Formats: sequence, C-alpha cells, structure tokens
Amino acid sequence: MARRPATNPPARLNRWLLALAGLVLIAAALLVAGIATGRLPLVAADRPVLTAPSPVPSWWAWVAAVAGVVVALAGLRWLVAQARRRPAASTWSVPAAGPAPGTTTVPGGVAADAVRADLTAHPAIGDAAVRLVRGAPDPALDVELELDATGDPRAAVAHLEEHALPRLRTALAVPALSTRLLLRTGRARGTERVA
Amino acid sequence: MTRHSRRTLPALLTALVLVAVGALAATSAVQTLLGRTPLVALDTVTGVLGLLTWQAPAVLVAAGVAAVLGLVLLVAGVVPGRTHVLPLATRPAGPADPHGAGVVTGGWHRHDLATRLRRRALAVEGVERASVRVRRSRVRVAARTHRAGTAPVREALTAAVAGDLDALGLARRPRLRVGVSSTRKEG
Repeated sequence: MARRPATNPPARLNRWLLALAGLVLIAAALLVAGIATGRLPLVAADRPVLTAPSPVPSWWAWVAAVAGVVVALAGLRWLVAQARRRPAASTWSVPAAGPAPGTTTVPGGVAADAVRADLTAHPAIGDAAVRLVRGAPDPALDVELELDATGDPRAAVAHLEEHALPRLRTALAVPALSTRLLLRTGRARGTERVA
Repeated sequence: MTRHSRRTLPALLTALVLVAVGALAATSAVQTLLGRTPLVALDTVTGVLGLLTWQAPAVLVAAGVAAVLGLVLLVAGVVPGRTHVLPLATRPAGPADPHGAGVVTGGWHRHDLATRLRRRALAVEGVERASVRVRRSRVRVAARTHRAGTAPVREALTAAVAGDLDALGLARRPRLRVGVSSTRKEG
C-alpha cells in the first residue's frame, strides 16, 4: 500500500526522528546502568569504558571522519526539512481515452494557479495558496485561504465550495476532489469602531 | 481537521546538535589525517574513556542526563500536544451532493483566530487594550477600558466577539468568557 502524503509537514518526520533519538538515548543510558550495576554481564563494571591501543590506529580517524560526515549531513537534511511547511505538489496525469496510447500530464501548479485566481477574485479572500497534493485517479487539494480581518469566512468557504471547486472538477473531469482547507487571517481592513 | 504541533523547536535543536557533533568529529578526524593539530584529538578522547570505568560517577551522570533527555525527546515525539487548528463544520456528502462537493476537512488556525478576535475586540467603542486566548473549547477575552463603568463595554464586547465566533463556521463553537477592567481608579 502506498504511503499517504504528509498533510502537515514536517510533523511526521520530526516526531519519528525525535522518538527514535529519544529511544537511542534511553537505550544507551540503560546499557550503562545495566553494566554498572552488574545486571548486564557484557563487561565487568570495573573495566574501562573503552580499551584502545596506543597510539590509536589511523583507520580510527577514517571511521570518525566518515561517521562525522554522515551524522552532519543527516542533521543538515533534517534542518532543511523544517523549511517545507506544506504538502508536496503532485502532477495530474491521465491515460489517453482514444485508440492511440499516451498520457496527458498537467503540472499541479497549472490547476492550482487557476483555482487561486478564482479564489482571490472574492472580496473576503486576501490571498490563497492552492496545491494539488494527489493526482489521478483520486485527486486531493490543499487550500490555505488568507482572509481579511473583517472578511466573512462563511462567504469565503461558500465561494470555494460552490465556485472554485466545481470549476476545477469540471476542468479535470473528476466527480470528486478531496479538499483540505486551512483558514488564516492576516491583514486588517479598516479600524472603525462599533458601539 | 485537527492539526497538532510539528515539534519544530525540539527538532531544530536536535538537528543542530547532530550537525555540530558530526562536523566536529569529521573536522577533527580530517585534521588528524592531514597531520595538523585537531580541534579534538582522538587520542585524548580514547585516553579519557580508557581511564573511566563503567561505575565512574561521570559515566553514571552522563547516563542519567541521556536518560532524561531521551525521555523528553520521546515524549515530544509521541504526545500529540495542543491542537493548532480548530475544525470547521464541513458539509457531508448527501443525496443532493453525492460526490462530496465541498471541503472534506478544514479548520481555523488557533493563533490567527486569536488575532482576528482581538481585532474585533479592539474595534468596540471604549476598548483600549485587549488580549484573546483561544483554546479548543474556550475563548477568553480580557480587555481594558478607560471608562469607569465596565458593564456596557463588556456587553458590547461580548456581543461583538460572540457574533464573530458564530460567523466563523466552527464545528464546535468554543465557550466565550469576557473580562473587562477599567484603567480609571475608583473614587
């Protein structure tokens, strides 16, 4: 079964890696405690933690260098993953219906830009971020609407549901389009006071 | 739609530690191989570890610190934490809408909701300052007014914020608590 795309990146990655790092540290602590108390008779408790020949063989430095590079690159990759805050974009591919074999592929951004243009035409919607996160045959859309501070959220959602989504479904010729929506608010419009 | 914390801060800190430790180890090792003075000499590390026994206090303290840190990281990874998004009421697929035309799942970001409600509160006549805390099931508004009588301001504030809360389309409307205090001293 294919793994479902992350809906809130990098939450899944962070949680897995944090749990793994936690388990490794706890396991190391338990190992030390087990040996020190004699319950884990792998090494005598009064032996040194490390028995290394002197001088240290040069291949140890090679191992340390490679291990250091691997750990640093893994850490760097994890750091870079923090920058991606939205689900990854997908493409729209459909096989040809006619006798000639072939596939039509549309970049997800093309469909998303059209929906974004539809959405930002509404007065309550300041900005929109749209992404096709799953392609055919079961497409999914991720939408983030930036509403004006005084904008009517119900009107904005209705505009999405009754105008933008049906148009995209028609364009892609699909009966259903699974949509995740996040409402946000940023800029203020007017500071008028009410009684 | 509920969305929990991404655990960005513990992830950032752990990743930074990994980068720092890896870079230090790699740099020191390469310096040793090139015959230069390393940042941390491999001989020093092996020498120190060769002097410490498994029962040495330093080793036991390090193990204790690792256990506590590991527990913190494990809890951060496993416990969902506070939700950042309050779910929207979504339209289920029905006879009139067999394909589920609407939004399948949606929500309001909690911090943005607080910002919006605070702006709404500040737009009420008589409110000088306002702070809003949004929880999953409760919204608390604390406002300050220069007026001596707080009751009318509280009433107007409650009506304004409650009206906005009703218009948000949340699946479960949080309870609203409004407190207004006066900056004017009695007497």
